[in-house]
Amino acid sequence: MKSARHIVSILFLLGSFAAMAADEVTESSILSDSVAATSEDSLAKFEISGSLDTKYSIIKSQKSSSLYRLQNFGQPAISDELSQFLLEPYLNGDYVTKDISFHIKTHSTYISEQTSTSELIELNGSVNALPTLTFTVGKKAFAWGKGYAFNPVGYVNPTKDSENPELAQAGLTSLSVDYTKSFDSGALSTLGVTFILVPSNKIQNRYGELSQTDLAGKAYFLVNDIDIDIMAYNSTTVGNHLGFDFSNNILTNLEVHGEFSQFTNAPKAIIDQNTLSIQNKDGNSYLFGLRYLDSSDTTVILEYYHNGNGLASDEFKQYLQYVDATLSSGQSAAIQTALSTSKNYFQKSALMRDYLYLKVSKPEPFNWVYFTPSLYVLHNLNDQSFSVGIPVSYKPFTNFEFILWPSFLVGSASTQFGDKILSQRLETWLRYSF
Amino acid sequence: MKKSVFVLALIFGMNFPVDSSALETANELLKRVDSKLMPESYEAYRRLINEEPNGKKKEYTFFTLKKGTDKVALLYLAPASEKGRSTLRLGENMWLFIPNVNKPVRITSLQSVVGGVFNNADIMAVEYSAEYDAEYDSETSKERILNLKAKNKTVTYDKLKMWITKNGEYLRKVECYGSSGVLIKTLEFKDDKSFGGGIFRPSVIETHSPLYKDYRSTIIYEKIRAKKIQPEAFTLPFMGRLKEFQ
Repeated sequence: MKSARHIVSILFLLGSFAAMAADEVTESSILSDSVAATSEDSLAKFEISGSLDTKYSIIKSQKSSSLYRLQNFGQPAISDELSQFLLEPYLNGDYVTKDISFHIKTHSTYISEQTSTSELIELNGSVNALPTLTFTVGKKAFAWGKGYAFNPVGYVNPTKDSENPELAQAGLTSLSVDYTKSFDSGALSTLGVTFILVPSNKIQNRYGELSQTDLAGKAYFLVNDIDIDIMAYNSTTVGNHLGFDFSNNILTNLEVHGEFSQFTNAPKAIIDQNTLSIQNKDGNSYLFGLRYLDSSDTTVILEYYHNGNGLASDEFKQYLQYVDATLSSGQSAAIQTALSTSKNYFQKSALMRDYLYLKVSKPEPFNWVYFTPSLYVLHNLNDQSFSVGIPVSYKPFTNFEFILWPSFLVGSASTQFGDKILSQRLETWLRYSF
Repeated sequence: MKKSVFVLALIFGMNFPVDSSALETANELLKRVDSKLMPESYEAYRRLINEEPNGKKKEYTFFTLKKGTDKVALLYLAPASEKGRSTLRLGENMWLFIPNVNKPVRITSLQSVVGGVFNNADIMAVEYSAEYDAEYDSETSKERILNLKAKNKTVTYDKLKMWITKNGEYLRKVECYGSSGVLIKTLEFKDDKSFGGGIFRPSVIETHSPLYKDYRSTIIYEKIRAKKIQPEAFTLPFMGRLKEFQ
């Protein structure tokens, strides 16, 4: 709740700036039109925006799953059909001029007075030292890579939810420098270079180890109408990574993209003889994808992702066996350790090695004005389990959106999606943007 | 002399090449139309209104930057649900930036990110002369009519038919055809208006399409101002930073 107070304070401060600027405009406009025009420009620089998501969900739990039993160990028994009512305000503040900018993005979750959280998605300031050179400090959400559902080269990206890749996620505390140059002639149209310094995120008594400071760099080229990035990440904690990505429209309605990443000394968590073991691995990850638009305005996104540092099927089974064995022991301390291990190391949506992602969306089918139904499938190719969702968006009024989102997790026991804590979920969203 | 050559060609059934001087004149006219429609480098504020068959309207406001013959960047200012989105066009390459996704993704020119009859190519229109070669078709009492043929297959519409006022300066109507010859949409240019700085042009573009029966979309130019813009505004890294240019 402390962070929530900070967020409210910052937004209040921004609001005060905006109000002061508005007053300035009113007074100035009385004085002269030209001064008012200048102040209107100033006012346009301050903006508070955001949205409120109201979500009601009906969930069918999977009580037999290992993870359900782990998460609910020692809790009073509840039904396997549950509901949840959730408020999620997103509040943003922006101050932008030609030379400097300040951004804050916040996200809060409110279920009850006792169960509410707030987080800073972004809080950063930028200075344009030159028109082509920008310094940024603070918390910033980077988005490296061309993939939609996965980004093997997203070394500085927030962890992506592959079932909802467009969800805003918390950024990275960092210092970055961006240089961009545009060229009028020749094959190379744009060159962009980014350097990022990432201070240690393992904080103890407010300090982190200097040696755990990470460095990242990316070079972007638009050459012969092809987007190409080359990126590197150097870290003593998460290993060294080198990669590239590309994207190109090979036809007017067909885009292809890909990513390749090679890593060394990247930590991999596995369960070995019912004990957590972190091993440093070398290998590579890659992604191929396409985006196709047909003549009826249907968009298809298809991606294959190989996660070189993901769990093999037998490694995933060992993890579940560890959870089962710990639960069978009935020892509270061991179960708490297993719960912590599960949350810290085995919660990623792309936990295993090979995935296929398909999304099809079709705006206004059968002349259903304002409706956009979609279908996505996230298929774990290693254990043949999958997650499928059919979100339907309806936007009848400006700034209002209704979403009905049924989703199903399908798979046999001891598979990634077959052993989740729930098997079905029906979400209804009402989103209001302001 | 030209008439004599034409008559001789008819008499002898020979295939003479198209009169190159006439082709140049049509292309020059097209360039003059372009220069009247858009300064070489400018910023503009526009409203786009999509009207549904049931009479409901959806409105969007854009801030637009344009430079050279084929560079356009566009920032959504309203409604709030779309605010902060931006699109970029470099020739036939187009990208969409969504703030939550936080990175540009490639889109196609035929797609429409706002729905309605206008597609991305219409909203981020570049100069006609950059994409098309022109030939004279015919003329009416008030207008000259040009036939335009796409310079390559990546251009959104294969052919255009264009009505231009007889003084050769103002566009009145454009019909857009696909490669199969089917009429895709008609754009009508209305309400000529002075925007200051010597810019006088149609302020309203209405479009309708046999493919979207009873739908109507309108673009209204609120402000246009010639402006020197740094070239980096038209790059992917700047798509999330277009507000800096307002």
